[in-house]
Amino acid sequence: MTDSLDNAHAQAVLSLLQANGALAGKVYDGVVPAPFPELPFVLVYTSIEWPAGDAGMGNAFDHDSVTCRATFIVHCVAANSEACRTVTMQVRESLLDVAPAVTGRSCTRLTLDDAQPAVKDETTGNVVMDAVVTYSYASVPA
Amino acid sequence: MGVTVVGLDELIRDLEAVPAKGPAKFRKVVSKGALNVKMAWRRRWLPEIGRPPQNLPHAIRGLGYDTYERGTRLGAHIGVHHLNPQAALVHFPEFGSVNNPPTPAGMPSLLEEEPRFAQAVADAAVDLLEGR
Repeated sequence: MTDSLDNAHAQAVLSLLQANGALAGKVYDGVVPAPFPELPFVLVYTSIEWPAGDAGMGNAFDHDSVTCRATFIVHCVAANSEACRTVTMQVRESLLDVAPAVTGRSCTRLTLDDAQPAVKDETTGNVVMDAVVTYSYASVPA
Repeated sequence: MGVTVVGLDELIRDLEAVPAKGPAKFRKVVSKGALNVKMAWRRRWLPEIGRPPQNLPHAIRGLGYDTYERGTRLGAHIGVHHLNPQAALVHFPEFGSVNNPPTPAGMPSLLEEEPRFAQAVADAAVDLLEGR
């Protein structure tokens, strides 16, 4: 397949986050740049699946995998718990119930699948608080 | 003028049996669903964290589920028990950290099971209503 659908599904959500004034320039795609960036920031791990069988509800009668499911594990990293909650709130403001725009696809609205409490992360050399929220959406051909 | 309805006695008998037979049947469906999620979760994690450098064998072995019943509500908690020696570490493989990407296994396994589980619940409900 030579299309760029997987990337388009990821970028649709990353650009929603970037479009939020409070998060602009603070959204990282899968890796935190060195040197360690200024707090707060958002780190997004994306997985794109094309589920088979019943899990791909919109799949065609000819068994072609046409349903795409994009999952975003969003790490909201800040100096303390309160700042973490502020970031998760900005992420919610940008993503929750929003239908991302992907050319040629009909997208469901983004849902919040999971939210973890902020935990201390000392592995970066700096003590930071990290709260993880998971958003996802699915799409079928328009 | 009159109306005769035939077959209602059987339906009433079947409906009366629902409260008696229902819980056991649905309990089985929930248990089987939780077991499927657990096994799929383990299958996903084993090649990722079952060996060094990210070696969490206790977490993988400790994957389990507990079913619960609150009134008419049946459910299951699936995952690593909080008393497991590696319980405090399992959010790393599932959600990743600032340094490491995640290898999500719980949510994909749950989503994979969802249509099968819904079908099994529907089948159990039909069985009950038809008196099986």
